[in-house]
Amino acid sequence: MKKYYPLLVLVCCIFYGFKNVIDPLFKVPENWPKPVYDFKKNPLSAEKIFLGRTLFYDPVLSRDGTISCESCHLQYTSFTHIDHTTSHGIEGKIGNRNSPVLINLAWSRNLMWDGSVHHIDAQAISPIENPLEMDEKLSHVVSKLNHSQKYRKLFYQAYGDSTATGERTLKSISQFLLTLVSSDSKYDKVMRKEEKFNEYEQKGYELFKVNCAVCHTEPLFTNGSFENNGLEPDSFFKDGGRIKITRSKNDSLKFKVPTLRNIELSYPYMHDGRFKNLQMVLFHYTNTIYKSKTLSKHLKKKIILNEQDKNNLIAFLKTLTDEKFIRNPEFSYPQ
Amino acid sequence: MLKIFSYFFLLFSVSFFPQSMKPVNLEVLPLYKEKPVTISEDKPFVVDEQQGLEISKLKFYLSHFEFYRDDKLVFSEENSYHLIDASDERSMKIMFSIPENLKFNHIKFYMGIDRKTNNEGIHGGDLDPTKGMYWAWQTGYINFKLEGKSSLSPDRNHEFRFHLGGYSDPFYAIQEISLPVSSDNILLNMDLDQFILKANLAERNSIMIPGKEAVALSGILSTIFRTER
Repeated sequence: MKKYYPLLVLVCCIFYGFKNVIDPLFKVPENWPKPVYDFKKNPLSAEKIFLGRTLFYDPVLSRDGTISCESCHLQYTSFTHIDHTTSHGIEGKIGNRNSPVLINLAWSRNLMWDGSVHHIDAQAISPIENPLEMDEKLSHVVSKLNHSQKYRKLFYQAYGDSTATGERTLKSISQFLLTLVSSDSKYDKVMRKEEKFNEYEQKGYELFKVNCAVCHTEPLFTNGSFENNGLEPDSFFKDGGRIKITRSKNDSLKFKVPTLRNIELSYPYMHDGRFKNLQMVLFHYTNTIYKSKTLSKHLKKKIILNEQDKNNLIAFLKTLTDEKFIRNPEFSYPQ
Repeated sequence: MLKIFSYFFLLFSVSFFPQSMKPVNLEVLPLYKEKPVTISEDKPFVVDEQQGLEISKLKFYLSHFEFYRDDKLVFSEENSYHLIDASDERSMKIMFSIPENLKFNHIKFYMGIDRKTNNEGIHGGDLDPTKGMYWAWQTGYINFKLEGKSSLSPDRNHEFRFHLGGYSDPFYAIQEISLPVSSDNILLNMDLDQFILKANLAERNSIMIPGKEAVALSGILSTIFRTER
């Protein structure tokens, strides 16, 4: 029996080595939680990721061939649409929400501001079929793909069969979205002890931990929950947020807590893009909290920050900018 | 617990003793006052000209078929999801392949798609979202669609449409249905007149989101299936 011990140790070592491997093509950054996405049900492959990336950048997904995912999710602004309070889609039609960043979605349990999408594999259906966004039908997209030589080849390379289906189309887009991991900001480097915060950033980080981190929890900078952050309801959109999905009064005016990663790049802010810059956001949290029944319990006590505190906090928030992410050639338009 | 043992027993017996299989056929037959409802793609089925009742779409999922002998589970279909579409004759017939010596006297299935399957995201085959049975304004499978016109409906052009579904509490709409069967050729009748009568088109004619109404209407649906003995 003893002669088998070295073998046993070897086997244990191999298993230990693989314990953190979620998928051979997906690396979980050090000290991060386990992703919520079940990679076993849709194992990544280079060909599927490439197919998804090609679809992401292709306006074939829209009714008139003018709008792609990228129209509202541009890489250089961390996959959102800046300068527009709410995004515009097909024929210049204006949507009713601010497009969110696409970052670290493998850890997102619910997507969209109201959590109307519960699984990333189903995400693309929503903008494809929204009359203000792409105004197309998924079944018609699939039929267009099946009539395209280029896509028949890409589907063959990805699935060993040239037929496009709804499931394959959506799961390929997921594969690309899952690879959009941002974990190389200055903040991350400081956590890995490769760099140091300056004095202002360090003070800002301390203020952040006390005032913001309960919802914008590290390392993802969101706890994934839905909260009413005290915005006065907009009389034009009359957007109740999460209540539309759960039909529960307790969810009125609640929206998903967004990640703060790359926040410097992803202005304007809030679900309706009402704040143009981070100064306005901080002014809201210190001065203009609108009290209603569902107001987050974390905002019931007034947040007090002086001007220097606010500048320090913004200095910290800017350390969440990940230049490598927004320039990563693997995420850009497929050549 | 008994169910788990039965599964293991089934698995054991299937893997160690190769058996010959027999087909069991199930045909879904939607009826309006005993009259079969058949819909062609571009032509609605006129149920009653005088009442102005037309049915233009009838699509729904039947899932997780199980066969029982008394209270004992004897066979359950794997990957059991069937989209029934009244405008597609082939979809109305389901064939199960079950071990030849198995005897059963009732079947159990769901009308709709269960929570676990919904939580797993999207699937292929009959569950492919291109089949028109997946919501776009939120996510989740639509269990049942019925659309048409009726003079009773005060809606535009007297239209009515029901898209029933929902997999989250408290509006979980799936329905379990259990019926006696007596042969290997099962006729599953569906009394649509009962549903349309109880839905009360004058009051309710457009339910397309999960909620209390969707659950109540799904409850009515669970009572309109019957097998002929």
